[in-house]
Amino acid sequence: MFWRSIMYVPGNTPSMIQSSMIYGADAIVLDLEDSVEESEKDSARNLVSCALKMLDFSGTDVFVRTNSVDSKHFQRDLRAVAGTCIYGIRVPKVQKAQEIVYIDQSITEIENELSLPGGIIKFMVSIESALGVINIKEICQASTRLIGVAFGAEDFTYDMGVKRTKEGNELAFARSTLALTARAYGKIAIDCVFSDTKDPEGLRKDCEIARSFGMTGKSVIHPGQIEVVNKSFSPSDQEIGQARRVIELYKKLGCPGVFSFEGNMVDLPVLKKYQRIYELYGRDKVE
Amino acid sequence: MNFTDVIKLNKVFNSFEELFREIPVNDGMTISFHHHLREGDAVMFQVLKSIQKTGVKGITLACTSLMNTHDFIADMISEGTVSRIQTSGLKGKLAAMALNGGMQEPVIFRSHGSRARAVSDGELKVDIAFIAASAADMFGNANAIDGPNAFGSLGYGVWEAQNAKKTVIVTDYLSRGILRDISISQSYVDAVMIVPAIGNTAGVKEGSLKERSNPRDSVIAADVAKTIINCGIELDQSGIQMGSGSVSLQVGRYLSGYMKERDKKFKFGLGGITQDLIDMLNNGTFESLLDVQSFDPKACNSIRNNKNHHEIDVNTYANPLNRSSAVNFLDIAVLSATEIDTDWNVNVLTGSNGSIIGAIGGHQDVAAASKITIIAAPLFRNRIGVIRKKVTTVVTPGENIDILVTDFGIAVKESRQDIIKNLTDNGIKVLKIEDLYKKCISFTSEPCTVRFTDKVAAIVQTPDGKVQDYIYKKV
Amino acid sequence: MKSASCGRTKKGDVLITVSRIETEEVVINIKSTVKELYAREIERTVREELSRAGKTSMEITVDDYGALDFAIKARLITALQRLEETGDDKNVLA
Repeated sequence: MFWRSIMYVPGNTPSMIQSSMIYGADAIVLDLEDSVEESEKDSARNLVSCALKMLDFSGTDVFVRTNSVDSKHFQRDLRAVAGTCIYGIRVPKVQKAQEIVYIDQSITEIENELSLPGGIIKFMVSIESALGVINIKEICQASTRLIGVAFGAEDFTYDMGVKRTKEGNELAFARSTLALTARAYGKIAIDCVFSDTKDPEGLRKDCEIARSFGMTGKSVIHPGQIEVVNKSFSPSDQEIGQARRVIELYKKLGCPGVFSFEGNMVDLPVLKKYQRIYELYGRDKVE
Repeated sequence: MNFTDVIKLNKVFNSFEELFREIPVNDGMTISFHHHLREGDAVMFQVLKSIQKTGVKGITLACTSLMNTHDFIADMISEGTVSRIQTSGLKGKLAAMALNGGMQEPVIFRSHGSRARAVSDGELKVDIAFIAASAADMFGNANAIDGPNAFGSLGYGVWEAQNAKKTVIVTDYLSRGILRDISISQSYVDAVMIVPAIGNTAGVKEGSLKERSNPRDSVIAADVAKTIINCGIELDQSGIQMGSGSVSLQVGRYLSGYMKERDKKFKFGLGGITQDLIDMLNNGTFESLLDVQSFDPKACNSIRNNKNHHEIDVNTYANPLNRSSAVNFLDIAVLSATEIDTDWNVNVLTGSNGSIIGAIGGHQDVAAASKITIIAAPLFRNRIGVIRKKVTTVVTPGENIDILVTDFGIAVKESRQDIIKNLTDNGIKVLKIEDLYKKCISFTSEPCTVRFTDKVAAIVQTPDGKVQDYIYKKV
Repeated sequence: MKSASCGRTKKGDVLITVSRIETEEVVINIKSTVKELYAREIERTVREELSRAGKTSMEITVDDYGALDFAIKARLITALQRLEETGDDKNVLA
């Protein structure tokens, strides 16, 4: 599971749901939370549920963002989408490990009830507050069903009482902490939304910052952002070409523990980096 | 002798009464207009209203196209001033009237090329051509690049003037001196009619050209560009017609970048000329533009000052009798569709519910001649599926269509194995049109067949004057 | 007159209003921008869902703007749920 771009789709707008799979996002999130007003939560839930059962989403992985654990909608949201083609759910505004336990248990219950293969529904959580950032270690340790954490900068900066800027210094600690901790516990870290849909250069810079901390993908809110994000979180053609040559040389030399490649030493940790790139990008292309 | 004396002596008129004394309009005549001013046209209104006042009846109106702004003609048909319509397209009240029994005789739809042929081979004998021009001089020379309401190329008007029995230039700007740039020569002109205004050039951009920002269009445009780049045609020194509208605009931008990176140039761009195409001429992506219709009044300066921006008449554009016509040199064409069927036939004139919603334009001519013809369209529009088992009206036959690019995938006709191989070798997934059809109905479900009577509302011609299809009145 | 509705009168969406009626029948009124082409399918989708939900005495009004089947079904389901939630004494037109 490696998603560079994850696109939010408002869950109460049929025309957007039915075309959400054409834009080339690595994953999409059908949203029942912030893009849906309170009086329409039931509409959106049923719309997303019917969409998952009746439309063809092949070609992209689908998540559903439920309402938060302490809302009255969470259980109904989960129930409406369990057993469909979703990869998992994304739960917003998570702050404590006990919410993780609750989510995991809720999903397990539903899997049992619907006789689904155990563990088939994964989940990610959004960290959107100071407390959530502080508790990230406990959060990551609390469940193996949890596959990743996403960063929600709008609510985070609101919680912190600071201004959100394009440069993003105010987010540095949170991004770094989330990326670090996620990596330590084998989870993925997804960066926050960049709200200016008309600033591709600003978006690219924001991606670079996120990538430099070790985050591996970013949430997007408009199809026009997907190309920039995918490119930013992919290795460059040079890097892919290099990885391919390293692996080829490695095989040719009979898989040694350490070897020299174009004047540089390649030992196991370095080799693993190249292997990761090769596995994801270098394998099917013919030189 | 002062200026007003000159006017009285020559063929310049400022009253329709006097004009009609000199050039009478009689019952049953065929008169023609062009549609260069599109939704901003005021000439047809002024001329037809004046004709109506004379009490003449039974006119055949042969226009290069008709738009919403020509709704007023509906009443003229009801009371008999106008009896027959020949055009490339219909909108608004006239489109509805053609189908609901308001017209005694079927409408004749022709492509621009077909009309050029009809006018020159005598099938369409125009008695009087009323040609809107933004500038004229007292001898009758005319152009559309000077004057306060300049609209660019006079491509349709030029051919009309050369073939009609009588030609009246209708203008709101009489030049003192002889025009420097002459599109229609005085030798073809019988009279110059001065009116207060020929129209509103802001309307030139209206009508099927608005750039609506729609993310689905971006997906289609990206795939169209990819297809063009990888289909096997060498783009350097090629000729291309991209159409207009949001998809075409974005295709142009992708191709611009591609060509610049590789130091390649298109030999010419063809079709409705937009500001974007002019920018690409100026930045070297195109070596030349062949302009039969300008879709932006800014084209005027480009035509005047840039010798590589050529105004061409419709005969040069697409007359099927003209072996040297520009469409014959096209390598790539991108066209739209209201519907396409699994035999690759294309409809661009009617909607799936049987109503007339568009125009043929140059569709048939371009598709017949271009080496590769691409249809760019969404899989469905507001639930109405674009791919069907059979189109409602065949406008352009499947033998002239090669590729369909939708937002849900690309299909290539089986017989074009060369294109299929080129695209597939470059990593582009190619589907069969039957598979795209199945995908379409998986969204929309199968539509009901709309029922028609056997009363013919309109005849759709082929470029060489035969019948391509009929449009029937609805039940 | 007890009724409830769900949906929007926007492109790609549909506004569905449901109400209980006295007689044992399902009455469906369809207004649609694509009526000639898809009214039959819209009616089929509505009847199927009502049958599945065991509703036999209903009047359904569909005000459609080119919504696909999944949206029609979803809006209908929500309208029916809202009708249930209104209770017998209340009159709710959402």
